[in-house]
Amino acid sequence: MRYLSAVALLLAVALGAGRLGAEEAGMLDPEMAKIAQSVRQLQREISTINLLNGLNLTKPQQEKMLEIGVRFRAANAKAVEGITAEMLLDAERSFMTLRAEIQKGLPADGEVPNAAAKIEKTIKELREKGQAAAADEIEALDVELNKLLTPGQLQVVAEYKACLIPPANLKNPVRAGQASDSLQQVRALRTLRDVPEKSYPKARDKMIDKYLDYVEKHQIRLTDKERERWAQQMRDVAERARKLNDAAFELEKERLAQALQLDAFVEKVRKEMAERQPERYIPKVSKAGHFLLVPELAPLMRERLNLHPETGKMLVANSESGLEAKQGGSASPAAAGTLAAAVVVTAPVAGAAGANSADAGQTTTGADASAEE
Amino acid sequence: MLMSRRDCLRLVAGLGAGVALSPALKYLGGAAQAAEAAGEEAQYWQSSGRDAVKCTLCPRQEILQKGACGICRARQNVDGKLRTLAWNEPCVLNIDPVEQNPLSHVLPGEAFLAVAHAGCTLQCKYCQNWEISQRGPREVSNIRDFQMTTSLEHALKRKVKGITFTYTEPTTHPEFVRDMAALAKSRGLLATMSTCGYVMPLPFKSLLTPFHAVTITYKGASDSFYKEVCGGELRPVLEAMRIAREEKKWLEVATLVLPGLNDKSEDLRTQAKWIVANLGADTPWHLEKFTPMFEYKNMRPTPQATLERARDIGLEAGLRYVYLSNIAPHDNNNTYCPKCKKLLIQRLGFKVTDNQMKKDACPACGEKIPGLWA
Repeated sequence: MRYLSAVALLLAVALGAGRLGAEEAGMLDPEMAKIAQSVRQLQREISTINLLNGLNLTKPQQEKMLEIGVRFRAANAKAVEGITAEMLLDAERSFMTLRAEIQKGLPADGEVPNAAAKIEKTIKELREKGQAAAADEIEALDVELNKLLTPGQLQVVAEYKACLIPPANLKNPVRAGQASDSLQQVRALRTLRDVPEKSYPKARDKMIDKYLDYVEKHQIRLTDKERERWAQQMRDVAERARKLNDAAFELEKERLAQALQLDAFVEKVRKEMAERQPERYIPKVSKAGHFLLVPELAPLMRERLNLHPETGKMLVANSESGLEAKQGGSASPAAAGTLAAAVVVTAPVAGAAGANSADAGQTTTGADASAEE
Repeated sequence: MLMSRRDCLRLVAGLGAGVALSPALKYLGGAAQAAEAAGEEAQYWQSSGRDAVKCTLCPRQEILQKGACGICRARQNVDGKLRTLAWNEPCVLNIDPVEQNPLSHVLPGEAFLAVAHAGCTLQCKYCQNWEISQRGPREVSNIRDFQMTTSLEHALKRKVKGITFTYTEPTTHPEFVRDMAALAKSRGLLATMSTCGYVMPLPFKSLLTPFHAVTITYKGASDSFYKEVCGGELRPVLEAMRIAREEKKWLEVATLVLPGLNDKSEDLRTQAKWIVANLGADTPWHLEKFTPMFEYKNMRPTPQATLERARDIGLEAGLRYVYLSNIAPHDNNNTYCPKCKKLLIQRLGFKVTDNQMKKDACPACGEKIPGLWA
C-alpha cells in the first residue's frame, strides 16, 4: 500500500499534477489524499455528464464519441510512455538521500546530487517527448470531435461552464451546465427594487461588492480600474431598474440583467491570459476538446451505451441479477474493438496513479468542474 | 388612443388616490378600489338559485355558492354575481421568442409580448408552471402598475411582433384576454395563445375572434388519462381543436410526453391519426420533453429515444411537421421541407439560428409551407 501511494504521489509530481494533488501530497495522509482525488474525479465526471446531457447526442454520435474517448485515453497514456515505476523509485531514493544530506548542511555537489539531477532529467525528457506526441494526437482528436458535433451542439459547448448542479430553467432548454443565464441577476435587481430608499445605497454597494468579490475569487482578478468600471456600470443598471415601474421592469429585466454579466469580459481576459502562456506541450484544443477530451469520456459513454466496462458487450436487463453482458453481442463492431484496446492501454495508468489516473493530469486538456453557482 | 374599461377604472382609481384629501373624491377612489378588489363581472354564467351561480365557461359547469371560487381559482361568486379575478394585473409579463409558445410556423425568431394571469381549468399533475397555474390571481404576486396600453407601447418599442397569452390558461379569463388581444391587433400585432382547450365551444369561439394563431395542448389519447392525470375530459379538448380549425386560426398542437403515462406507441399513433383526420396533415405537432415537476417530481424526464420514437409515429401517421420541444440542441427542433427535405429553419431551442424560407415557400423546390410567415 505504501509502495503504491509513494509511486502515485511521485508520479503525480513528476507529471505536473493539478494543484489539489500537490496540496494533498503535502497536507493529507495518502488515504485521505486518495479519497480527495476520488471526490475530485466524481466532480469532473458530473460536470462532463451535465455537458453530455445538454448535447442530446444521437446513438451514432454516442458511439463515435466512445471511440474518440478510447483513443484519447490511448493518446494520453503516451504522455507517460517510458516512465517506469523503477525510475520513479530511483528518483525517490536519490531525492531522499539528497534531502538528508542538505538537511545536515552538507554541500550539494558530488555523486548524490548528480544522480538526482540525472534521473530528474531523464523523467523530464521522457515526459516532454510523451507530451509532445500525445498533444499531436489529441489535437487531431479535437478536430474529429468538432466535426462530430452539429452547429447547435457546438453552440451549447461554446456557452457551457462547468458545474455540478445546473440550475433548472425551462425558459431556455438549451442550457447545459452553468451556461450564462440571467435568473440570478434578475433576482438581484428585484431585491434592490424592493429595498427602502434609506438603506438602498448601502444594500446596492454590498451586493455589487459581493458579486465582484465572487468574480475575483472564482474567475479572474480585476484591476482596480476594471473593478470600479464594473461597479459603476452595476450602480447605473440598479438605478435604472429602480426607476422603472413594475410593468416596465418586467419588460426590461432581461436586458438589464445582461448588462450586469461579466461573462464575456471574463472570457476575453482568460483568452488573453491563455495566449500569453509559455509553450508547455499542452494540446491546443477547442472548447469542445477542453471539456470532452478527458479520461472520463470513454467510461461515461460506455455506461450511456449500456456496454460492459471491460468486455464492451451490450448489457441486457436480467430480472434476477440486474444487468448482465449479452452473449455474443456488442453495441457496434467499432466500439467493441476500441473498447478492448482501452482496457489494455488505460490499465497501467490507472494502477500507477492509484484510484485516479485522471487527476495525474498527464496531457489532459484541463477540464475542471468547479462547484460554481 | 383606445382605452379599455379596465384602464379607465385604473385611471379613476389612481385619480381617487391622488386627491384623497377631497372627501367626495376620496369616496369615489375608495369605491373604485373596492370594485377592483372584487374583480370585474365575468361573462358566461347564470344565476342558479339563491345567490348561487353556474359558471358556463368550462365544461365543468360548476355551481358556485356565494363566496366560492371556481376550480380554476380565477372566477368567484361575489354576492350572487360571477366575477373574474384575473381582469387586470397579470403575474407574468415577458418578452419571449414566439417559438416558446410553442409556435414554429408563425413569424420565426420574432419576439412576442407574453402575458399570463394565475389559474387554470385543469390540474395536470405534471404541470410545468404549477406555481402560477395552480394558484389563483390573489395567491400570487402580480405586476403592479400594469396598464394594457402602456405595456403594449413599451413592448412595441422593443420591436415585438405579437402578443401571446401563455404560461397559464388564458381561457379562465376570456374577458381580459379578448380585450388585450383586440387592442394588440389594432396596433398591428399578431395575437396568439397557448391553451389546454378545456373550454366550452361558445366562449372559445368568441375568445378566438381577435386571434391569429393558437397552440392547443393535446395531452393524451384517452379520456382516462385526462381524468386521472389532468382532472378533465378529452372530448371538449378535441372539440376546441376542431373549432380553432373551423374558425381558420393557425393551429399548432403540443403534447408533453410523460414516460409510462402517455408515451405508448399506440396512444401516440391514435393522437397523430386524429390530428391528420380532423385538423389536417399540415398541422404542426410539438412533442415536448417532460421535466419532473409538481406532483410528478419523482418521475424521470422523457428519454430522448422516446421523443424520437414519438416523432417517427407522427410522421408515419402522415403529419408533415413534427417537432421536438424542450430538448435542444436537436435536429428535430428544425423545420424541413416535407417534399425535398431541405433544412428551412434551423433552431437552437427557442432561438432561430438560420432561416432559409423564401416568403412562404421552400427555396429549393418551391413547396408552400403553411403558416403565418409575414
